[in-house]
Amino acid sequence: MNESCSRALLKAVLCAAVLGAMAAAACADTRDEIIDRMAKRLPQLKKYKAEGKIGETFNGLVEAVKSEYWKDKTLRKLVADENADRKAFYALTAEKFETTPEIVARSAGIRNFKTAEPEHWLKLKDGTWVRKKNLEEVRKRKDEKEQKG
Amino acid sequence: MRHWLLVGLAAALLAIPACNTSHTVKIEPVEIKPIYITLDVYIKIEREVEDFFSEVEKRAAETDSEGKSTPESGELK
Repeated sequence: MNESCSRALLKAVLCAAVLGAMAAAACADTRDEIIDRMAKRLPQLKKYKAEGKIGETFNGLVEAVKSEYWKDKTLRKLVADENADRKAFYALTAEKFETTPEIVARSAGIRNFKTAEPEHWLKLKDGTWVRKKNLEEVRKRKDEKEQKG
Repeated sequence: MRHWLLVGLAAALLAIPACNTSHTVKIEPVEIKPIYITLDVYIKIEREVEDFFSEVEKRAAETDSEGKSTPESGELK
């Protein structure tokens, strides 16, 4: 009786250890999996960005620059998949640094605005789309308007 | 006359505490540490974000170069 009990206990402990190890492994490669998926998607994303159909937003996501571009099924899927992975990364990082995903997303938005090509489209906080090369000019105009107002 | 002098003196004595003003300036404790901690977290997040997107670009470039270096099936024939 005692022997069977100890065997059952040993089995339970082993099962828990295996499950724990599996969960830890799943968590450990999540960031890596996200990077892998995003890397595979990057050439297509760059192509759409160069065509002026997809742009970066201030909150670290990607979006179709014009509503008519949403008709493109490939573009729709690309944007949805990319944003899902980015959000997953923001949530992971927020958890790591005990902050909110929004703060991480804003940091990513700033980074992606900085690294964007001059021809790429960027969506500002007020919802307007601006080409990177015109960003400084638009910001100056806005500042002047605010000072006058 | 003397009576009035006494009244005046009493009034002056009563008025003395009213002249005594005291100002208490409360100084809020200055907390510098949390500001540094917040800044440190922001810097760490910035670095993490930079590393992440750089890694994505690096891996994409590697995949691209691997794809280019692999001979197409047509060339092997």
